Amino acid sequence: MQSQTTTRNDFGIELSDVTAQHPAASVSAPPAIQGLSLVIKPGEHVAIIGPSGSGKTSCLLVIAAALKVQSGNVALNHQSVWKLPTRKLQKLRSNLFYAPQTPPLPPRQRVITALLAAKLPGQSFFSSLMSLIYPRDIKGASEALMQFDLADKLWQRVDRLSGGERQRVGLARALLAPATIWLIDEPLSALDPTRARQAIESLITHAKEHGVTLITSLHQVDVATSQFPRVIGLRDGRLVFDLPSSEVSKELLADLYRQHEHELDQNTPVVLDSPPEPAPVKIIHCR
Amino acid sequence: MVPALVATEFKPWILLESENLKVSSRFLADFFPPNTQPDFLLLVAKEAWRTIAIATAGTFLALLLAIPLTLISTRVLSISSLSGRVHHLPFVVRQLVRWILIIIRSVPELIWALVFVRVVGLGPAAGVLAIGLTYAGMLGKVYTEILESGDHHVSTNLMRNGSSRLQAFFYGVLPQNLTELTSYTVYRWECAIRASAVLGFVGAGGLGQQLDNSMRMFNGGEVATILIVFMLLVGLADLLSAWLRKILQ
Repeated sequence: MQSQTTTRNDFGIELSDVTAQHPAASVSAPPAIQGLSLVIKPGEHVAIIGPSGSGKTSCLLVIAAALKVQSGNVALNHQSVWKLPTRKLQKLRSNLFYAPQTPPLPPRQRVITALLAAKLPGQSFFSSLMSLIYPRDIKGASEALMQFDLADKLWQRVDRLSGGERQRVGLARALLAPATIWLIDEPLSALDPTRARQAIESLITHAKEHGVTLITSLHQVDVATSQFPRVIGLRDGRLVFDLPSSEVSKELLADLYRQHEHELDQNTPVVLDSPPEPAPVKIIHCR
Repeated sequence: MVPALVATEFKPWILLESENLKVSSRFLADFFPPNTQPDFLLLVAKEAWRTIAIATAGTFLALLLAIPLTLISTRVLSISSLSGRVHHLPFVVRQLVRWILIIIRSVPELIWALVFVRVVGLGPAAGVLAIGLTYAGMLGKVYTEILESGDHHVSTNLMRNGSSRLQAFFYGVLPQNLTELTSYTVYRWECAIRASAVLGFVGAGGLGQQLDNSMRMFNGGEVATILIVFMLLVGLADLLSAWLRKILQ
């Protein structure tokens, strides 16, 4: 496993005066990220908090080299990301693991296949095809699942899992990815508090062991301040504070969530551990 | 609608005029009873098998052409579009492939068959080539549409994390769209069976050629038998499609 042998991580992240707009947004809408400057050292653990629509996801996408900046500069490992040719950029992306809030799991795929998909960047095309027929790293996949208390689901189909289980499978993928930077968007949104703590601890432990830079956006302010040494507060696409978690005061938080107080108070996450919704019915048109 | 009816001289009531009713009832009466002589049945079975072979080989050839063209022309698997706008060169290539697909499917298979009959001679090979070419155009177009209308979440994420286009295809796109792709392909195979009947009329072999012979001889019983075999083949395709969809679910 590549991720377990590379304990050396020299991928520093440097954002300078970045302004970015989501490609689907209307031209008149304000940019999702405005004038953001950040330096994140290799192996750091950072939580990004802020009310809904504050640009947390966009910030992760910018670092993931998935959202092109309108102005400013994004440098990874001292390389300016958007000056790289497509091929090199794609190679660089294999060092980044971006986990979206909705886990990218095809409903009819087996859990093990969806997990091993995280290892694709380091694999040749042939061996990734063979892995579809006979999974290549059953042991690694089952160990990753075990971290999230899902070892028995290895051979299940994704559409048989509940929402919370899917989210944890999505997080287990990070453990398998050959990446040195994890960008994890709202990892706890569908988990109950116990599972949430277990999940975030698994991620942090693994990240520490392998020197992985861990950046997550979080809705749970208490988790952010208790588990992460550094907390970044975003509001309306702008940096409000970037502090060691011990210095994040109640006043700062109240200010950050002004007019969104319910998001701050409501620290018990919405429990979505409900039975899976039926697969969408696809209509076949006669062509 | 009315101009269309005028332009097509659509006057269904002339079917009910006594003179025409007599002609059509005589024509239909000819169909009964279907010819069930053993040696004719054997001949039909042989030609039916050849028809299936033409349709299958044609569809397979179409697949061979359509799959790479789809992979090139779909925007879903574009790495440059991950970060916003598609680059110029991929855009031009994609448009080019789309035009190739339009050109090869805009020529009806019958015309292709007429061309190929001149090139490779009378027989099934012309039918296979004609079906392969036209259907590659159709499959390529519809495959691209199926992929683009589907959910790109998984494949986009895989490519964002550094996977290649083909890896994203096999791990993200295919599992999401396999049933729809399969059922459309089997439906096209069914169409190819029907198309091979028409191609038989221009000498491309199979049941169609037999049907042409029987019609020329005004042998209604034989025509009826062949039509029944066609119905059975289409029913078979339907069963196959349902079965494939079930195991892929």
